[in-house]
Amino acid sequence: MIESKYYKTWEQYKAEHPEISEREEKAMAKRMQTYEEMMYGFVMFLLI
Amino acid sequence: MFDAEQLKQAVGDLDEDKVMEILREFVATNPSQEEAQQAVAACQSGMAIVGDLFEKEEYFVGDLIFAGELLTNAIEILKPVLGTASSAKIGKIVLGTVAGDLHDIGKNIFKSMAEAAGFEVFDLGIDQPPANFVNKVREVKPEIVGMSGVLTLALESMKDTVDALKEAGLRDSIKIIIGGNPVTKEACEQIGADAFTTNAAEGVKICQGWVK
Amino acid sequence: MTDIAALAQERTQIIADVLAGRIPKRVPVIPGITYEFAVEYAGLDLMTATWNPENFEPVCDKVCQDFYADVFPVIHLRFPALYKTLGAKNWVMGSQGFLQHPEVVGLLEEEYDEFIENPYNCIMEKVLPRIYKNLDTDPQTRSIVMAKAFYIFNEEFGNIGATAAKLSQKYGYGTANLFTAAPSAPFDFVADQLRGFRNMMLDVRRIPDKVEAAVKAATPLMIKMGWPATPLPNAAVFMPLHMAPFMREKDFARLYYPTFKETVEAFAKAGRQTLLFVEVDWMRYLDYLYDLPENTIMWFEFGDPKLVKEKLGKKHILTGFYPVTLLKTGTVQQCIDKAKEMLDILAPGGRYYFNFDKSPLTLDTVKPENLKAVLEYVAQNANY
Repeated sequence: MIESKYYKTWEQYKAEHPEISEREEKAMAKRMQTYEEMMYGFVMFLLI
Repeated sequence: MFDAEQLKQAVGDLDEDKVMEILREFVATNPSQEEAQQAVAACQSGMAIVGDLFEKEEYFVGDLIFAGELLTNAIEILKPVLGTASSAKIGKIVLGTVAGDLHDIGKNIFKSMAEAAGFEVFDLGIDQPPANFVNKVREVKPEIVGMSGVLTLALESMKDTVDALKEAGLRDSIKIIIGGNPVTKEACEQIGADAFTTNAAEGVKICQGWVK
Repeated sequence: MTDIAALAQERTQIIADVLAGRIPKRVPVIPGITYEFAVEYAGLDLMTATWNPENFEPVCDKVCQDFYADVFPVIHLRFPALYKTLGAKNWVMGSQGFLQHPEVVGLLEEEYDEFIENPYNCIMEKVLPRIYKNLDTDPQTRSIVMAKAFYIFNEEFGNIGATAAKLSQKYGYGTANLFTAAPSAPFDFVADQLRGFRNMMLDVRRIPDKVEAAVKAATPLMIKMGWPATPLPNAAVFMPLHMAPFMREKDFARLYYPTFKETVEAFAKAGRQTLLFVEVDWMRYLDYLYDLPENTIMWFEFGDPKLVKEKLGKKHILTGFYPVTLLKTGTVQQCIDKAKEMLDILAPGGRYYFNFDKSPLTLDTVKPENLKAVLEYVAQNANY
C-alpha cells in the first residue's frame, strides 16, 4: 500500500468525495482507478 | 610523527575514522614537507593493500570506490602541509571513455588507483572521439593510453581509436590497455590493444609492468 | 487451422512448458533484440529514426523476417521524445544516438529521512524535479510538461503493443510477455536513480542504517510496480539486477537480499513469475538465488553455466550465458559451436530457453550473419 497525497485508491477518493452517488460510483470507480494506476506506472517508469 | 605502518593498515582496512584521526593528529604537529610526503606514501601503500584484497575477492568494486574517496579526503587533509613538493611520477596515462559511451564509474576507479600507484593521469572524460585521444597523446606524450567502456558498442569505438592512433603515427610509442564490462581476449586482439582487463587493480599492475 | 496459427500454438506451448518447469518439445528461442539494433539493421539513422513511432513497425518487420525467434523479439524502452520533453539528466543520448544512463543523484544524503517517511511524496516533490530539469519549474509549466510526457509514454507503448500484436499474428509468434513491468530490486532502485552508484557505495559503509531503511521504504513501491492486475499466460515481471556484484557479501545479505527476495516472493504469491536479468558476475550469490521462489527465470550475463545448471537448474528457469561479443569476433562456425556448447550444458532436463548473455545493442556490435545463423541453428537443432 502506498500512502501519498499523489496516489489515491478508490476508497480514499470516495471518502474525500461524499457527493458521489452509488449509481455514479458504478460507472466511475474502475475508470478513475485505471487512470490513477497509469499515472503511478508512468511516474515509476521515470525512475527506471 | 606518525606510525606509517598503522596508517597504511588503516587505509588497507578502509577504516575511514582511524585514517582521518591519524592524519589530523599528524597535521597538528606541523610536520615538514618531507614528512608529509611520507604520509602520502603510506596512504598509497594502503591503496596497494586494497588492490590486493580486491584481486583476492575480499573487496569489491564498492570498496574501490570507497577507497578512492578515502584517499582523496586524506590528501585533502594533508594539503596544507604538503607544500609545493610533489612526488616523482612513474609515468603518464591518457585515459577516457570511448565514443558513444557515457559511463565513467569504472574509468574513475582505475584513475584513482593509477594515481595512487604514482601515475600522472590525463582524464579526457566520457564519450570521447578518437581525435581527442590522438590530440592528447600528441600533447602530453604518455607511455600508456587507457580506454574504457561499458556498452558493447564501445568495442567498435576502441578499435576506431586504435586505428586513429596508428594513422597519426603514435601507436608504436605507446601501450594501450582497454577496460570495462565487454572486453575479452578476442576483442582485445581485434581492437589491436596491448592488454585488456575487467579489473581495475589488475589494470594498474599491468601499467606498472609497462613503465618499470 | 492455418499454418501460422498452428505455429503460434506450438510456440506458445513450448514456452508454457519451459516456464512451468516441464520439458518442452524443443528449446524455445527467445532473444531480445534492441530497437536500436533493429533501426540500424533496417538501414535507418539511429539519431533520428527513434523520434518517429511510425518507424517502429517497418523496422521490426525487417528483423522479424530475417532473424528467428519464438516470441516477438524487439525490445524498445527508451524514447528520445519523452526524455527530451522532460529535460532528462538520467537518460542522455550518446554521440552515436544511443540513450544511456549517466550517474545522477536524485536524492541528497540529507533527504534520506524524508524518503523513508514517505517515498512517493519525496519522489514527486524532490527526486523528479531534480533529475528532470523541465519539471523544476512553476506548477503550470510542470503540469504541461507532465501532460506531454504522459502522452508520449502512452503513445509509444500503445504503438509498441499494437505492433507486437500485429507482427505476432503475421509471423506466428508464441503468446508470451516476459516484460509486463520492470521494477528494480529495492536496493537497486535507491542506488540507480536516487543516490547514484558512487554515493550508494559510500552510504553502505558510512550510513548503512539509513540505506536499510530507505530500501525497506522502497519495497512496497517496487511490489506495486510489478503487481499483476490481470492474469496473463506466459507472463513475467522483468527485473534487471544491478548492484550486488559490486558489494561485499555481508552488505548484500543485510541491505540487498531481504527486500529483493520479498519483492520476488510477492509476485510469485500473486501468480506472476519474475525474469531476473542477473547482470555481471553473481557466482558468489548462487545459494541466495537458489532460495528464491521456484521457477524464477534467471537470465545470466556471466559465470559458469555448468555450475549454475547444477546448482539452480532443477528449481529455476535459466537462460543467457552465450557471449554476444562472439557474434562480432567469431566465424559462423565458431558461433554455432558455442551455441551447441550452451545447449549441451543447459538444455538437459528442460528449464532452459535460448538467449544471449545480453542483447545486441547496435548493428556494429555483432555480425548479423552470425546472429542469424545461431538463432536458426538453435531453432532447428534443439529438440528433446
